[in-house]
Amino acid sequence: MKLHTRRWLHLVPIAAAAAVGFVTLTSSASEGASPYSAQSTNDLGADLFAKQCSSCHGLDGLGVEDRGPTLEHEGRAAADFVLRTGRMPLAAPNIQAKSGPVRFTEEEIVALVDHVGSLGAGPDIPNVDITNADIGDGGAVFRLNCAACHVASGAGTAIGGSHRAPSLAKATPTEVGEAILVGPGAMPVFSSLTDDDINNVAAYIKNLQEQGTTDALHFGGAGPAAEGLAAWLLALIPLIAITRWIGRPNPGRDHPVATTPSGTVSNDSEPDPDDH
Amino acid sequence: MARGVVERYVDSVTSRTGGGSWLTKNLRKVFPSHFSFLWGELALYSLIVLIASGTYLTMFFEGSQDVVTYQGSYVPLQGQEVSAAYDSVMRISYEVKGGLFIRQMHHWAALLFIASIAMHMARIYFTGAFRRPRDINWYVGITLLVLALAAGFTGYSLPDDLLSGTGVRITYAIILALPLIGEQLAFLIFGGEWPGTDIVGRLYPVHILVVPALIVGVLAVHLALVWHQKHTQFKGPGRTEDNVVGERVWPAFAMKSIGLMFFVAAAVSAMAAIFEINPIWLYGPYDSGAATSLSQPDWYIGFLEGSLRLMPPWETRIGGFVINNIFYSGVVVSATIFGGLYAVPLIERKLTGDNRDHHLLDRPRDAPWRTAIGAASIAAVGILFIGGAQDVVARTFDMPMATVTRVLQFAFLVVPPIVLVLTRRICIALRDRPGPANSERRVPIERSADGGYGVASEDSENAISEESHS
Repeated sequence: MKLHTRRWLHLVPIAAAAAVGFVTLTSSASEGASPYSAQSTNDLGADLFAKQCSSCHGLDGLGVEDRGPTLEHEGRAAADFVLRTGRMPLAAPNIQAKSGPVRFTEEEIVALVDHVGSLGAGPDIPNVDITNADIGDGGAVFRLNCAACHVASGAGTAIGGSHRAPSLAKATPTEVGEAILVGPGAMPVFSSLTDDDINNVAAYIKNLQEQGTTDALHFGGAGPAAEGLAAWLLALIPLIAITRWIGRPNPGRDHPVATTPSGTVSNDSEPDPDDH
Repeated sequence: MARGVVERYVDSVTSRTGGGSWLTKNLRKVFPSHFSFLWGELALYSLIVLIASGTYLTMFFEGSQDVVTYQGSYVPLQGQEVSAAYDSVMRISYEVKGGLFIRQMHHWAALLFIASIAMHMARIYFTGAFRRPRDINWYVGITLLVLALAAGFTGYSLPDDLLSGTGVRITYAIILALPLIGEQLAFLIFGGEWPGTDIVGRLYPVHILVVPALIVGVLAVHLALVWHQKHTQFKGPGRTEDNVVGERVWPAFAMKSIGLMFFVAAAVSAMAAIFEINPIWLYGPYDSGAATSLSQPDWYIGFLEGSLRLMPPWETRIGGFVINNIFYSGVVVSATIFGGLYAVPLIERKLTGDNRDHHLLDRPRDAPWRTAIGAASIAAVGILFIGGAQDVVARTFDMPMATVTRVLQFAFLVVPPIVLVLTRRICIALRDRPGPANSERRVPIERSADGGYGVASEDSENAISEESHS
């Protein structure tokens, strides 16, 4: 029975891969001959966009109702951010994009980014330079603007609605800058931050990553709740196990059977009845 | 051998001071052994670690909110304006020799202190040790719990980092929510509008002098009462309402207890050496404009945080005063919890009509209603504790925060009654389960002269029952 289950489990990823492959093949076959691909100056980008993005964002990139927003003013920054962190393409419309495996080659990403940038006026990919940044000021900016959702440690957490502020543990300085300019998902656009602020805050986040603030040893950067749990599980419960050992019943003393020698302690002089 | 040396030493002192018979009598005092009887000692030894480590920290801490420029060795904060309190805690963490270790010991010991108090209190409750005549010591013990929470809260608030400032901010709001006196009281305590410049300087003497002095004083009463009233014991062969069966203080019990002290110190040291706690350099100095997610109080204030987070936004106006959800969750809920704890012996007496003295403990199953009510209360407070970390739960299980909150709100209403009924049934089933009447009784086995084993002879069995009836 066990063996059967295991064999069956082995088949799951194969079946899933086969299904995905089938879907990918058929869909690219049907859209490959799209007549719209020639409209763009960038053939590869437009072609990829038509294949991979248009079902939600529309062939013109102006969005499809109930499926995906317009990309007219998203700019190269947004496209670069979502493609390099694996947020796009989404598994299903109307869910929050999460970082994952990158689906495109470098060449494809550049082409898609150019294509999205050509749709309308939007922010360009920022040139974030952390070499001469002021980490201290970056920390102050971070605590005032970012920590409220991304957590002081950068660990990220669930926020209002069903949104989730992602962990910053792997965010590159460029991605930080792009997110600040674009405001992906539920994140607002922080238009008040200057280029220096962006450099500083990216440097501060880099510093958090180097400190390992979201490591297991730091309880994932989750703060006092995790510390409290650790106090119970790692300190109190072992100590209770030790009291179990130290306070274990001693048949000679705690169970004064008649056969025990004079070492048995029972009753002796106390308590005096009028002591109560 | 060792015993002889100690006894000779005791003799040499008592022959000069005249305290011989008193000391000898107390060293000969008998304590029953059971591992759950040692949990109060876990709290006691955590307190000793707290006082020792806290004394070291007072040498370097500055209880002041004067603004200074941070110039210590933590690069990401260099040049930032921080309060003197925050600056001194940063110095303790980064420059003072052993400072971070001692600070982390102090914090871990505080978490352990209140966790052991909780376990100790649960043991007292579920075994019925709070009944007359020890009801008086139950009141003393609950007072110690309140004082311990006060010590923890004031200590959490001292470093003046983003987390502690957020905690104090919530406290300010709870004080404001008190009808009639709220605003005046808040101004009195904080010296004006939030955040003011006084509160750290005011909490500091409370944390290091007032509350510890009260704890030590009340703890002395607590222990003196245990000593005077004698320790309770579980039912067992030879144990009656009129005797105490166990080990003498000297040497057996004292050695075990001292050993436990070293284990507590070792556990706290290990936690402090291995795990980071409250990294204030990450949270940064408090700024009323800044905030961080996953900001929680230390675990023991979690029930209050949870009641704030789970309480629906109710608001009523009575005669020009606003009674809002912070009043219900911050004041009414905590008053109910601690009022309920203080009233435990009274409630039990009213419900059972049992006004007699008790020196033998119940097993939890022996009192199904008591155990069920206790378990249901723990479930209710436990849901409040989870509610205080509802964002951590949502993060961990990748669920929307609103869903977690709503589920917990309903759980708070539904789970305790279920726990009540289930616990009571389990207790009754355990108590009444069929089987040998004395399934727990130990059967003495004797080894014969030729190396065989056998059940001890009938004579010795009779001897036990005789003794237990005496």
